[in-house]
Amino acid sequence: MSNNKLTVVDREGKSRDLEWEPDQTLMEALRDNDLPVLASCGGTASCATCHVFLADEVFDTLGERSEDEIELLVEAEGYRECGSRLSCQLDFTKDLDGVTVTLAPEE
Amino acid sequence: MSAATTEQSATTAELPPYSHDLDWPAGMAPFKVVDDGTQGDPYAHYAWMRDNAPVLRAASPVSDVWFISRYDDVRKAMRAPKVFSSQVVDPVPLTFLTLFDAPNHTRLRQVVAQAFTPKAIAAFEGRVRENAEKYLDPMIAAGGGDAVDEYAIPLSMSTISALLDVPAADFEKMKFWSDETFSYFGRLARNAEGTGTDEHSTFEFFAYLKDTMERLYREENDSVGGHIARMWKEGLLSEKEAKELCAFVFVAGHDTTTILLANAFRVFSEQPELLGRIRQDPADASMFVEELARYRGTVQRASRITTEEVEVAGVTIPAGAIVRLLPAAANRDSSKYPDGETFDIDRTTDGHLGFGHGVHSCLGAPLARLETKVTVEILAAKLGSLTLNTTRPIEYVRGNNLTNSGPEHLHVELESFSA
Repeated sequence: MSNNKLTVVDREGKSRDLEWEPDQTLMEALRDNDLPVLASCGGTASCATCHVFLADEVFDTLGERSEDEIELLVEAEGYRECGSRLSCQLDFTKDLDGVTVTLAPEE
Repeated sequence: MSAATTEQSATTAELPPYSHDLDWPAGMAPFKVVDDGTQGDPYAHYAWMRDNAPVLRAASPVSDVWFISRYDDVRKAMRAPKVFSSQVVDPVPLTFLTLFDAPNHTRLRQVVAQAFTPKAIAAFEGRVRENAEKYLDPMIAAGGGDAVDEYAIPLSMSTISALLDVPAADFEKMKFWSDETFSYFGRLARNAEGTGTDEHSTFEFFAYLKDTMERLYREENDSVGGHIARMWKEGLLSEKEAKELCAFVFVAGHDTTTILLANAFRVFSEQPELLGRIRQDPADASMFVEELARYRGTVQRASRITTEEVEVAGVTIPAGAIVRLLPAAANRDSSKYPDGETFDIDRTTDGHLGFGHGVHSCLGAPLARLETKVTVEILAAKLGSLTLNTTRPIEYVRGNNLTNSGPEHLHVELESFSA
């Protein structure tokens, strides 16, 4: 499977284009491309340091967030009921090719 | 909890009895804040605590300490850093990541995080494998030895030293300083006794690390030590933070992995059929590693302070209470892991707390997993038999750091595999 294209808007508002590989979660694509995504818990949905925002029309196409994910997001800086996701919980799919992701503020 | 409820329960909440007032089973000493030698292998205590006192209050000369042992309760606390704060000592005495909450935790962890991603750590596999063979082969030739002194310490020291790019000739003094620094940390941050020499040794270690960082900076070195040195020279970290963060990487990466590696030997001695199984199918080594981290992980106590009154397992813990979460106790909770007191390589280990959980999850977990996986693979590939030396009982770490426990000496008899 070919890589996805990904546009990331960092916390200073600067955009950068990345390749998202099929065996990576979205968090891993961000972290392994040296974006400042701490991902403290390593991808177990137990912290909120990989919090990102997605546009409404993209967000609506994703599956339901787990209770664990929601519990952390509602406490996270800048939480949006529609748009906030933990990037470690988003696996690669071709549907997300070309998507734009915005890094949420850090605590 | 609302202010009204807090006020009401502050007057009505009953404090649970102290550990030393409980009716412990015959032969089992009451669980204590500072181990007097009865908690080297603490799992019998943990089992009793999960069933009888899932929130255990123990007295110490400084303050009460509350121990939490059930899986759901420990996991929940680890996910709630605003209620269970890591900033137990304020101001924070040492730049050790385990002592900070956000935002300082985030800022300081970011400095070293990129050196410990799975991708960054994968580059070390060849070196770890080479060193693992170098230390194991003479033990096999001798028919056995001390798995801690002769294998686990040299392997973890050589690996973590590579991250700071310090020479092998310095390993012995680094090991001494590292243990002393962990004791100093225990004294400052956990009210442990200390060694009497820990402060002096720690400051020697910091001076050595400063010299090392000066060298790494001059050499434009790529190691994590070189990265910390650049952050210091560019003014993003103070000298104190830079030295102490280097020390933290070393101390946290060395002692914990040493114990986990020794525990891998121990489990093979208890389930010798796993040598043959992993020799046949080395891919099972990763399952061994995860079950090992669940069943006999290193970190026993994660220290927290409550920022508000909180109810856990029906017990009201007041605000400002010193709490120790017990991940190794939680990991054997049979309500989460059926027959939790048994090592079962085939079980589902999802969600284990062997490398922690939440924002303070183990930074070095990818490195510890790599060293342990390589060890498991090499033991299985090279050994036909691994047994404990019955004339030399296991000696356990007597935790000056009040954090880890496991073997300090583990004497084994080894026979090489011949097809």
